[in-house]
Amino acid sequence: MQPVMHNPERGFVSSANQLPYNYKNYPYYMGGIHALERGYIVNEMLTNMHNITALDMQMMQTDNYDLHARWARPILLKYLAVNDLSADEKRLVQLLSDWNLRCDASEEGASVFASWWDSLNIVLHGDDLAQTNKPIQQVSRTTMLQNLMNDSTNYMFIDDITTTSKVETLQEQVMAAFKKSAPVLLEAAKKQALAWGKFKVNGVRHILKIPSFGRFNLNASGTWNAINAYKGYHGPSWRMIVHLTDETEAYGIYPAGQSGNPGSKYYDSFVNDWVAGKYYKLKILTKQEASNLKDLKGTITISKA
Amino acid sequence: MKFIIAILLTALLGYAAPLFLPWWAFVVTSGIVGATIHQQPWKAWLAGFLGMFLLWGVWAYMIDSANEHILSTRVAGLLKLGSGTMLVLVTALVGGLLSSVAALAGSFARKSRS
Repeated sequence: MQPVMHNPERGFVSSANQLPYNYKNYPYYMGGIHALERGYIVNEMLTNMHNITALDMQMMQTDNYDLHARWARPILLKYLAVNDLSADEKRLVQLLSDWNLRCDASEEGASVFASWWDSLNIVLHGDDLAQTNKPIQQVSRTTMLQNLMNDSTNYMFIDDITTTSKVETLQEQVMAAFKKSAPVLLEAAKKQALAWGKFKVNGVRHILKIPSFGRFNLNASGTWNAINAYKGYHGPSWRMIVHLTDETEAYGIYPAGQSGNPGSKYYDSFVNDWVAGKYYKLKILTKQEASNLKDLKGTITISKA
Repeated sequence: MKFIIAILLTALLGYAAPLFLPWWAFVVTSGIVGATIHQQPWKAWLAGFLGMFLLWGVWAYMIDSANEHILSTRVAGLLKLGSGTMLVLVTALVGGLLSSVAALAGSFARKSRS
Protein backbone atom coordinates (compact mmCIF):
# COMPACT_ATOMS: atom_id res chain seq x y z
CA MET A 1 0.00 0.00 0.00
CA GLN A 2 1.77 3.11 -1.19
CA PRO A 3 0.92 6.45 0.37
CA VAL A 4 -1.18 8.39 -2.12
CA MET A 5 -2.22 12.02 -2.10
CA HIS A 6 -3.94 14.05 -4.78
CA ASN A 7 -4.59 17.79 -4.54
CA PRO A 8 -4.95 17.73 -0.75
CA GLU A 9 -6.98 20.43 0.93
CA ARG A 10 -4.01 21.62 3.00
CA GLY A 11 -2.47 22.81 -0.28
CA PHE A 12 0.82 20.90 -0.32
CA VAL A 13 2.30 17.43 -0.62
CA SER A 14 5.36 16.58 1.43
CA SER A 15 7.72 13.70 2.02
CA ALA A 16 10.78 13.69 4.25
CA ASN A 17 12.11 10.15 4.80
CA GLN A 18 9.41 9.55 7.36
CA LEU A 19 7.76 6.16 7.96
CA PRO A 20 6.68 5.10 4.47
CA TYR A 21 3.73 2.98 5.52
CA ASN A 22 0.94 2.67 8.04
CA TYR A 23 1.22 0.02 10.78
CA LYS A 24 -2.47 -0.77 10.46
CA ASN A 25 -2.40 -1.50 6.72
CA TYR A 26 1.03 -3.05 6.66
CA PRO A 27 1.88 -4.80 9.94
CA TYR A 28 5.30 -6.18 8.89
CA TYR A 29 8.70 -5.17 10.19
CA MET A 30 10.58 -3.14 7.58
CA GLY A 31 13.72 -2.17 9.45
CA GLY A 32 15.52 1.12 9.20
CA ILE A 33 15.12 4.23 11.29
CA HIS A 34 12.65 6.78 10.03
CA ALA A 35 12.92 10.18 11.66
CA LEU A 36 9.26 11.10 12.09
CA GLU A 37 10.30 14.50 13.40
CA ARG A 38 11.43 15.80 10.02
CA GLY A 39 8.14 15.14 8.25
CA TYR A 40 6.34 16.69 11.21
CA ILE A 41 8.32 19.91 11.16
CA VAL A 42 8.12 20.14 7.35
CA ASN A 43 4.32 19.98 7.54
CA GLU A 44 4.23 22.41 10.45
CA MET A 45 6.30 24.94 8.52
CA LEU A 46 4.49 24.52 5.19
CA THR A 47 1.13 24.98 6.92
CA ASN A 48 2.27 28.38 8.18
CA MET A 49 3.93 29.56 4.96
CA HIS A 50 2.00 31.43 2.29
CA ASN A 51 2.99 32.85 -1.12
CA ILE A 52 6.49 31.56 -0.60
CA THR A 53 9.44 32.17 -2.90
CA ALA A 54 12.44 30.05 -3.79
CA LEU A 55 14.37 31.95 -1.11
CA ASP A 56 11.85 30.87 1.54
CA MET A 57 12.34 27.28 0.41
CA GLN A 58 16.10 27.69 0.72
CA MET A 59 15.66 28.91 4.29
CA MET A 60 13.39 25.97 5.00
CA GLN A 61 15.66 23.30 3.48
CA THR A 62 18.58 24.51 5.55
CA ASP A 63 16.54 24.91 8.74
CA ASN A 64 18.12 23.49 11.89
CA TYR A 65 15.16 23.39 14.26
CA ASP A 66 15.43 20.31 16.52
CA LEU A 67 11.87 19.14 17.04
CA HIS A 68 13.04 16.04 18.88
CA ALA A 69 14.68 18.27 21.50
CA ARG A 70 11.50 20.32 21.85
CA TRP A 71 9.83 17.17 23.18
CA ALA A 72 12.81 15.59 24.93
CA ARG A 73 14.32 18.56 26.78
CA PRO A 74 11.48 18.86 29.32
CA ILE A 75 12.03 15.22 30.33
CA LEU A 76 15.71 15.81 31.07
CA LEU A 77 15.08 19.03 32.98
CA LYS A 78 12.11 17.63 34.89
CA TYR A 79 13.90 14.60 36.34
CA LEU A 80 17.24 16.26 37.11
CA ALA A 81 18.02 17.18 40.70
CA VAL A 82 19.72 20.50 39.90
CA ASN A 83 20.62 21.28 43.51
CA ASP A 84 23.01 18.34 43.69
CA LEU A 85 25.20 19.75 40.92
CA SER A 86 28.42 21.74 41.03
CA ALA A 87 28.59 25.32 39.73
CA ASP A 88 30.14 24.23 36.42
CA GLU A 89 27.51 21.59 35.94
CA LYS A 90 24.73 24.04 36.73
CA ARG A 91 26.07 26.26 33.98
CA LEU A 92 25.67 23.40 31.51
CA VAL A 93 22.06 22.89 32.59
CA GLN A 94 21.51 26.63 32.19
CA LEU A 95 22.89 26.44 28.63
CA LEU A 96 20.38 23.71 27.87
CA SER A 97 17.36 25.47 29.36
CA ASP A 98 18.28 28.74 27.59
CA TRP A 99 18.80 26.96 24.26
CA ASN A 100 16.56 28.11 21.38
CA LEU A 101 16.23 24.51 20.08
CA ARG A 102 18.11 25.35 16.89
CA CYS A 103 21.10 23.22 15.94
CA ASP A 104 23.04 26.11 14.44
CA ALA A 105 26.82 25.81 14.44
CA SER A 106 27.18 28.43 17.19
CA GLU A 107 24.69 26.94 19.68
CA GLU A 108 26.19 25.41 22.84
CA GLY A 109 22.90 24.15 24.25
CA ALA A 110 22.59 21.78 21.30
CA SER A 111 25.81 20.05 22.36
CA VAL A 112 24.60 19.67 25.94
CA PHE A 113 21.31 18.20 24.80
CA ALA A 114 22.77 15.74 22.27
CA SER A 115 25.44 14.47 24.63
CA TRP A 116 23.12 14.11 27.61
CA TRP A 117 20.26 12.49 25.69
CA ASP A 118 22.57 9.95 24.02
CA SER A 119 24.14 9.16 27.40
CA LEU A 120 20.66 8.54 28.80
CA ASN A 121 20.04 6.08 25.97
CA ILE A 122 23.15 4.13 27.00
CA VAL A 123 22.34 4.34 30.72
CA LEU A 124 18.78 3.09 30.18
CA HIS A 125 19.33 0.44 27.52
CA GLY A 126 23.04 -0.40 27.59
CA ASP A 127 22.69 -2.88 30.46
CA ASP A 128 19.72 -4.62 28.83
CA LEU A 129 21.27 -4.84 25.37
CA ALA A 130 24.52 -6.19 26.86
CA GLN A 131 22.71 -9.44 27.68
CA THR A 132 23.18 -10.65 24.14
CA ASN A 133 26.37 -10.82 22.15
CA LYS A 134 24.46 -10.89 18.87
CA PRO A 135 24.53 -7.75 16.73
CA ILE A 136 21.58 -5.67 17.82
CA GLN A 137 20.24 -2.29 16.82
CA GLN A 138 20.42 0.52 19.35
CA VAL A 139 17.09 1.78 20.64
CA SER A 140 16.35 4.77 18.44
CA ARG A 141 16.12 8.20 20.03
CA THR A 142 12.55 8.54 18.83
CA THR A 143 11.54 5.22 20.41
CA MET A 144 13.16 6.19 23.70
CA LEU A 145 11.41 9.54 23.65
CA GLN A 146 8.06 7.94 22.90
CA ASN A 147 8.46 5.41 25.71
CA LEU A 148 9.52 8.03 28.24
CA MET A 149 6.62 10.28 27.25
CA ASN A 150 4.07 7.46 27.51
CA ASP A 151 5.35 5.47 30.50
CA SER A 152 7.57 8.09 32.18
CA THR A 153 8.79 6.63 35.47
CA ASN A 154 7.23 3.22 34.79
CA TYR A 155 9.33 2.59 31.68
CA MET A 156 10.49 -1.03 32.02
CA PHE A 157 14.12 -0.47 30.99
CA ILE A 158 14.92 2.23 33.55
CA ASP A 159 16.38 -0.19 36.10
CA ASP A 160 20.04 -1.08 35.74
CA ILE A 161 19.88 -4.88 35.78
CA THR A 162 23.54 -5.22 36.74
CA THR A 163 22.77 -3.86 40.23
CA THR A 164 20.58 -6.70 41.51
CA SER A 165 20.09 -5.30 45.00
CA LYS A 166 18.66 -2.00 43.84
CA VAL A 167 15.95 -0.70 41.50
CA GLU A 168 17.03 2.60 39.92
CA THR A 169 14.57 5.42 39.40
CA LEU A 170 14.36 7.66 36.34
CA GLN A 171 15.70 10.55 38.48
CA GLU A 172 18.82 8.54 39.30
CA GLN A 173 19.33 7.50 35.71
CA VAL A 174 18.91 11.03 34.34
CA MET A 175 21.54 12.13 36.87
CA ALA A 176 23.83 9.23 35.94
CA ALA A 177 23.54 10.18 32.27
CA PHE A 178 24.30 13.80 33.08
CA LYS A 179 27.35 12.83 35.15
CA LYS A 180 28.52 10.74 32.20
CA SER A 181 28.37 13.57 29.69
CA ALA A 182 29.26 16.55 31.91
CA PRO A 183 33.06 15.89 31.93
CA VAL A 184 33.07 15.61 28.13
CA LEU A 185 31.10 18.85 27.80
CA LEU A 186 33.23 20.75 30.31
CA GLU A 187 36.39 19.54 28.58
CA ALA A 188 35.00 20.78 25.26
CA ALA A 189 34.08 24.11 26.86
CA LYS A 190 37.65 24.48 28.09
CA LYS A 191 38.92 24.00 24.53
CA GLN A 192 36.37 26.49 23.13
CA ALA A 193 34.78 23.58 21.27
CA LEU A 194 31.38 23.38 22.94
CA ALA A 195 29.61 25.17 20.08
CA TRP A 196 27.57 22.61 18.14
CA GLY A 197 29.47 23.10 14.86
CA LYS A 198 32.70 22.12 16.57
CA PHE A 199 31.27 19.62 19.05
CA LYS A 200 29.63 17.29 16.56
CA VAL A 201 31.58 15.40 13.93
CA ASN A 202 31.23 17.07 10.52
CA GLY A 203 32.85 15.66 7.44
CA VAL A 204 32.39 14.86 3.80
CA ARG A 205 34.12 11.59 3.02
CA HIS A 206 35.50 10.15 -0.19
CA ILE A 207 33.62 7.02 -1.22
CA LEU A 208 36.70 4.90 -0.34
CA LYS A 209 37.10 6.78 2.97
CA ILE A 210 40.57 8.02 1.98
CA PRO A 211 41.12 10.84 4.50
CA SER A 212 43.08 13.20 2.25
CA PHE A 213 40.39 12.95 -0.46
CA GLY A 214 37.63 14.14 1.89
CA ARG A 215 36.92 17.26 3.94
CA PHE A 216 36.77 17.25 7.72
CA ASN A 217 36.23 19.49 10.75
CA LEU A 218 33.67 21.58 8.92
CA ASN A 219 31.98 24.08 11.23
CA ALA A 220 28.50 23.02 10.19
CA SER A 221 24.95 23.30 11.48
CA GLY A 222 22.24 20.64 11.44
CA THR A 223 21.20 17.53 13.30
CA TRP A 224 19.75 14.11 12.51
CA ASN A 225 16.07 15.06 12.84
CA ALA A 226 16.23 18.66 11.58
CA ILE A 227 15.35 19.43 7.98
CA ASN A 228 19.05 20.11 7.51
CA ALA A 229 19.84 16.57 8.65
CA TYR A 230 23.62 16.91 8.61
CA LYS A 231 25.51 15.04 11.30
CA GLY A 232 28.66 12.98 11.15
CA TYR A 233 29.19 11.91 7.57
CA HIS A 234 25.51 11.90 6.63
CA GLY A 235 23.38 14.72 5.45
CA PRO A 236 21.08 16.10 2.79
CA SER A 237 23.64 16.09 -0.02
CA TRP A 238 21.59 17.18 -2.99
CA ARG A 239 19.53 20.23 -2.19
CA MET A 240 17.26 21.32 -5.01
CA ILE A 241 14.41 23.76 -5.45
CA VAL A 242 12.48 23.91 -8.71
CA HIS A 243 9.90 26.57 -9.43
CA LEU A 244 7.25 24.97 -11.65
CA THR A 245 7.00 27.83 -14.13
CA ASP A 246 7.13 27.58 -17.94
CA GLU A 247 10.67 28.86 -17.93
CA THR A 248 12.60 26.64 -15.51
CA GLU A 249 13.84 28.43 -12.42
CA ALA A 250 15.84 26.03 -10.31
CA TYR A 251 18.44 26.10 -7.57
CA GLY A 252 20.69 23.33 -6.33
CA ILE A 253 23.94 22.38 -4.64
CA TYR A 254 25.76 19.32 -3.35
CA PRO A 255 28.83 18.93 -1.10
CA ALA A 256 31.48 18.09 -3.67
CA GLY A 257 32.40 19.75 -6.95
CA GLN A 258 31.91 19.50 -10.69
CA SER A 259 35.18 17.66 -11.28
CA GLY A 260 35.90 14.07 -10.28
CA ASN A 261 39.62 14.71 -10.67
CA PRO A 262 41.25 14.95 -7.22
CA GLY A 263 43.88 17.24 -8.74
CA SER A 264 41.29 19.83 -9.73
CA LYS A 265 40.31 22.86 -7.69
CA TYR A 266 36.75 22.08 -8.77
CA TYR A 267 36.96 18.72 -6.97
CA ASP A 268 35.51 20.01 -3.70
CA SER A 269 34.71 23.62 -4.55
CA PHE A 270 31.03 23.42 -3.49
CA VAL A 271 31.68 22.09 0.02
CA ASN A 272 32.01 25.43 1.81
CA ASP A 273 28.94 26.89 0.11
CA TRP A 274 26.95 23.75 0.91
CA VAL A 275 27.94 23.99 4.58
CA ALA A 276 26.95 27.68 4.57
CA GLY A 277 23.55 26.80 3.12
CA LYS A 278 24.06 28.60 -0.19
CA TYR A 279 22.50 27.56 -3.49
CA TYR A 280 23.55 27.90 -7.11
CA LYS A 281 21.14 28.81 -9.86
CA LEU A 282 20.83 25.80 -12.14
CA LYS A 283 21.07 26.88 -15.73
CA ILE A 284 18.74 25.26 -18.21
CA LEU A 285 19.73 26.95 -21.45
CA THR A 286 18.28 27.10 -24.90
CA LYS A 287 20.77 26.82 -27.77
CA GLN A 288 20.58 30.55 -28.38
CA GLU A 289 21.12 31.44 -24.71
CA ALA A 290 24.10 29.10 -24.56
CA SER A 291 25.79 30.79 -27.51
CA ASN A 292 25.36 34.23 -25.90
CA LEU A 293 26.55 33.18 -22.44
CA LYS A 294 29.22 35.51 -21.02
CA ASP A 295 30.55 33.54 -18.03
CA LEU A 296 31.15 30.30 -19.89
CA LYS A 297 34.13 28.39 -18.42
CA GLY A 298 34.68 26.16 -21.45
CA THR A 299 32.94 24.02 -24.03
CA ILE A 300 32.92 20.29 -24.62
CA THR A 301 32.28 19.17 -28.17
CA ILE A 302 30.98 15.65 -28.51
CA SER A 303 31.39 13.88 -31.84
CA LYS A 304 31.15 10.35 -33.21
CA ALA A 305 34.35 8.37 -32.82
CA MET B 1 84.16 18.07 -16.60
CA LYS B 2 83.23 14.58 -17.74
CA PHE B 3 81.13 14.27 -14.61
CA ILE B 4 79.13 17.42 -15.36
CA ILE B 5 78.63 16.39 -19.00
CA ALA B 6 77.43 12.96 -17.84
CA ILE B 7 74.87 14.59 -15.55
CA LEU B 8 73.61 16.94 -18.25
CA LEU B 9 73.46 14.21 -20.88
CA THR B 10 71.59 11.87 -18.51
CA ALA B 11 69.04 14.59 -17.81
CA LEU B 12 68.68 15.64 -21.44
CA LEU B 13 68.23 12.10 -22.78
CA GLY B 14 66.08 11.22 -19.77
CA TYR B 15 63.79 14.04 -20.76
CA ALA B 16 63.82 13.47 -24.53
CA ALA B 17 63.63 9.68 -24.78
CA PRO B 18 60.26 9.22 -22.95
CA LEU B 19 58.71 11.81 -25.28
CA PHE B 20 58.85 9.21 -28.08
CA LEU B 21 59.36 5.94 -26.20
CA PRO B 22 57.79 4.36 -23.10
CA TRP B 23 58.32 6.25 -19.81
CA TRP B 24 61.06 3.84 -18.69
CA ALA B 25 63.22 4.58 -21.75
CA PHE B 26 65.36 6.88 -19.58
CA VAL B 27 66.79 3.77 -17.91
CA VAL B 28 68.25 2.68 -21.26
CA THR B 29 69.64 6.13 -22.09
CA SER B 30 71.24 6.42 -18.63
CA GLY B 31 72.87 3.04 -19.23
CA ILE B 32 74.22 4.24 -22.56
CA VAL B 33 75.59 7.42 -20.97
CA GLY B 34 77.23 5.32 -18.25
CA ALA B 35 78.88 3.15 -20.90
CA THR B 36 79.99 5.86 -23.33
CA ILE B 37 81.37 8.46 -20.91
CA HIS B 38 84.36 6.83 -19.36
CA GLN B 39 84.66 7.46 -15.60
CA GLN B 40 85.14 5.52 -12.40
CA PRO B 41 82.09 3.37 -11.57
CA TRP B 42 81.09 5.36 -8.47
CA LYS B 43 81.23 8.59 -10.47
CA ALA B 44 79.11 7.07 -13.22
CA TRP B 45 76.65 5.93 -10.58
CA LEU B 46 76.48 9.39 -8.98
CA ALA B 47 76.15 11.18 -12.33
CA GLY B 48 73.33 8.84 -13.30
CA PHE B 49 71.62 9.47 -10.01
CA LEU B 50 71.95 13.26 -9.99
CA GLY B 51 70.92 13.66 -13.62
CA MET B 52 67.55 12.00 -13.17
CA PHE B 53 67.07 13.14 -9.57
CA LEU B 54 67.39 16.77 -10.62
CA LEU B 55 65.34 16.32 -13.80
CA TRP B 56 62.40 14.59 -12.14
CA GLY B 57 62.64 16.71 -9.02
CA VAL B 58 62.47 20.00 -10.92
CA TRP B 59 59.92 18.68 -13.40
CA ALA B 60 57.62 17.31 -10.68
CA TYR B 61 58.02 20.54 -8.72
CA MET B 62 57.00 22.60 -11.74
CA ILE B 63 53.93 20.45 -12.42
CA ASP B 64 53.04 20.54 -8.72
CA SER B 65 53.37 24.33 -8.51
CA ALA B 66 51.17 24.80 -11.57
CA ASN B 67 48.56 22.64 -9.78
CA GLU B 68 48.90 24.70 -6.56
CA HIS B 69 49.89 21.46 -4.74
CA ILE B 70 46.28 20.20 -4.78
CA LEU B 71 46.96 16.74 -6.20
CA SER B 72 50.32 16.20 -4.49
CA THR B 73 48.81 16.99 -1.08
CA ARG B 74 45.99 14.48 -1.60
CA VAL B 75 48.25 11.74 -2.95
CA ALA B 76 50.81 12.38 -0.19
CA GLY B 77 47.95 11.81 2.28
CA LEU B 78 47.01 8.62 0.47
CA LEU B 79 50.61 7.30 0.62
CA LYS B 80 51.08 8.66 4.17
CA LEU B 81 54.05 10.81 3.15
CA GLY B 82 53.10 13.87 5.17
CA SER B 83 53.33 16.62 2.57
CA GLY B 84 53.27 17.26 -1.15
CA THR B 85 56.94 18.27 -1.07
CA MET B 86 57.81 14.80 0.21
CA LEU B 87 55.95 13.31 -2.77
CA VAL B 88 58.06 15.42 -5.15
CA LEU B 89 61.23 14.22 -3.36
CA VAL B 90 60.15 10.58 -3.52
CA THR B 91 59.39 11.00 -7.24
CA ALA B 92 62.89 12.39 -7.80
CA LEU B 93 64.42 9.61 -5.70
CA VAL B 94 62.72 6.86 -7.73
CA GLY B 95 63.96 8.39 -11.00
CA GLY B 96 67.44 8.88 -9.55
CA LEU B 97 67.74 5.31 -8.26
CA LEU B 98 66.59 3.68 -11.51
CA SER B 99 68.92 5.85 -13.54
CA SER B 100 71.91 5.41 -11.22
CA VAL B 101 71.72 1.63 -11.29
CA ALA B 102 71.50 1.69 -15.10
CA ALA B 103 74.52 4.02 -15.31
CA LEU B 104 76.51 1.78 -12.98
CA ALA B 105 75.64 -1.25 -15.11
CA GLY B 106 76.71 0.66 -18.25
CA SER B 107 80.00 1.60 -16.63
CA PHE B 108 80.73 -1.98 -15.55
CA ALA B 109 79.79 -3.31 -18.99
CA ARG B 110 82.38 -1.08 -20.63
CA LYS B 111 85.00 -2.02 -18.03
CA SER B 112 84.56 -5.75 -18.55
CA ARG B 113 84.79 -5.34 -22.35
CA SER B 114 88.02 -3.35 -22.30
